[in-house]
Amino acid sequence: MRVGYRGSIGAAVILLAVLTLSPRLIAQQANGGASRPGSDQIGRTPWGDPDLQGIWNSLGSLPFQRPRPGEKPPENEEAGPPVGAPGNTPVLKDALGNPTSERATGNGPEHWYERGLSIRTGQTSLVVDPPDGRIPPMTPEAQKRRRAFDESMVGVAKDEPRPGGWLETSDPWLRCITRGIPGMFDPTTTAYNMNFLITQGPGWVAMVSEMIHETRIIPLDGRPALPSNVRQWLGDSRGHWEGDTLVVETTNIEPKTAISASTL
Amino acid sequence: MLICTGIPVAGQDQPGYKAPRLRGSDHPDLNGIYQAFTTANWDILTHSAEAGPVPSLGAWFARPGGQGIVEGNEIPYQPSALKTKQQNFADRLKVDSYKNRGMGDSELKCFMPGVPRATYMPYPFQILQGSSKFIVVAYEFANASRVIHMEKLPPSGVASWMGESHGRWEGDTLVVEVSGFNDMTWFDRAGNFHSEDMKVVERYTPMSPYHMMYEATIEDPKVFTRPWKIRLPLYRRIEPGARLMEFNCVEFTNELMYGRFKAQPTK
Repeated sequence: MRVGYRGSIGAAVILLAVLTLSPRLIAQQANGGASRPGSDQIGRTPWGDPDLQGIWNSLGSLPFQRPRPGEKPPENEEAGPPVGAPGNTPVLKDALGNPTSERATGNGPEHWYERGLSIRTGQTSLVVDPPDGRIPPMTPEAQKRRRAFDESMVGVAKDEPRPGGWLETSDPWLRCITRGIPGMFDPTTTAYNMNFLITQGPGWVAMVSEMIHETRIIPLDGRPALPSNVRQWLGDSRGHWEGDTLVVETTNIEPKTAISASTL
Repeated sequence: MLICTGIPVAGQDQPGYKAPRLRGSDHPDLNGIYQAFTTANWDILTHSAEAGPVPSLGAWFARPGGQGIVEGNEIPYQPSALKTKQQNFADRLKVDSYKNRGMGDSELKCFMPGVPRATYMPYPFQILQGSSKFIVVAYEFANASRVIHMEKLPPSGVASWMGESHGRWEGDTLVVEVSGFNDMTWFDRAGNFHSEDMKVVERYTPMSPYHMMYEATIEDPKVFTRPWKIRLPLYRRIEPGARLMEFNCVEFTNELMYGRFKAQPTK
């Protein structure tokens, strides 16, 4: 698994995350953006909701954040291999400038990996707001925590688990706990098992993630969030429809989860 | 004096009950959160109360007595397999995450519990029955889940913790054939076990707005001399806003499984 530590970002996660999953956008991604179906072309469930049911894959080629000036331009602006493929492997660096791959376990063999498709949509990063495609700076307190963690990692052994190894300093994905939200959809890690099964019933949408076999059940009944002292790795998701867009508000997120594997 | 109370008896057919239909379908709507009300996770056979394995935990983790869920209260082990079961029980708290991943109870290690055990663990599960070609069952324990394929698919041939589930309707009963297991899950903490050749046929029959009957026939010629059957009612969780909470136990078992690999900074 080509995974570095991501938890220091998680420490700064704002507790209210809003994920918008539009059937239109998904359809567009699934067919390479060739068409934008109108509302009448979207299937309906017997109870009238847009029908998102099926098996989806979140592989993609966009970087999570737009590269800074001087960095390799994103896939959409210059033809090149997908992110993660040989010749386009982003080097993720920690707050001290050390590559986080120094802390990762060994990569799997090449045939484990699924590579994202290159899709030209005009979008250049997964972050679309702020418009510069960059995650806003962390608060000074969060930056301090991240730096302290990175300093504590200097000299800690990497690779195979062994005495002196990696247990509590490794990220939740590496430990097979969770990919978190929205990390579970993050296509930029271009690893494997990036499949999702979506099923819907009257009053709920459920997403089963192949990676770490997590099921995220999203009630649509307007129920209140869990008490704020209750934290879960996948948080507490509650959804509603805005037109054909499923809007999911997720709160109560365990602070140790990551936003993305590639935000460092 | 014999009094007829009219209270439904577990296992008894209730031809009078017709479950509501899923909207847009001719099939019963099984959606909901269910939970078994048995002590079968300790032992699927009838058992007495016993002290727990950790004396300092007193009554907290002692084993409650309970009635078994196995038809005839007998598991037809082959003689050599019965010895394995007894060894499993002796080794149930042993963990060797490096050399022998299968040793000890899979529940202890937060591995996915397999079928049918996931059904009668003391955690709720949710049936997610939509209008698609699969029914998802999400279990609270260890985030385990299953996709029951309702369309005819060839078996994948890949072994997994929860097996591969293929479902069909027989009247109002959801019948699920499950195979393709690995051999690392047990039926209970008593060490009752199966091989990777196990086949399970489950039957979920709605009996009232509040409960279903669950039956599972287990066949595994490597371990048992004949097929055998379990049966138990599953109760619907009816409290307002009932939901699965997260029981992601991976972190709870890190010390047990990987404590020896904890970081020791080398600087």
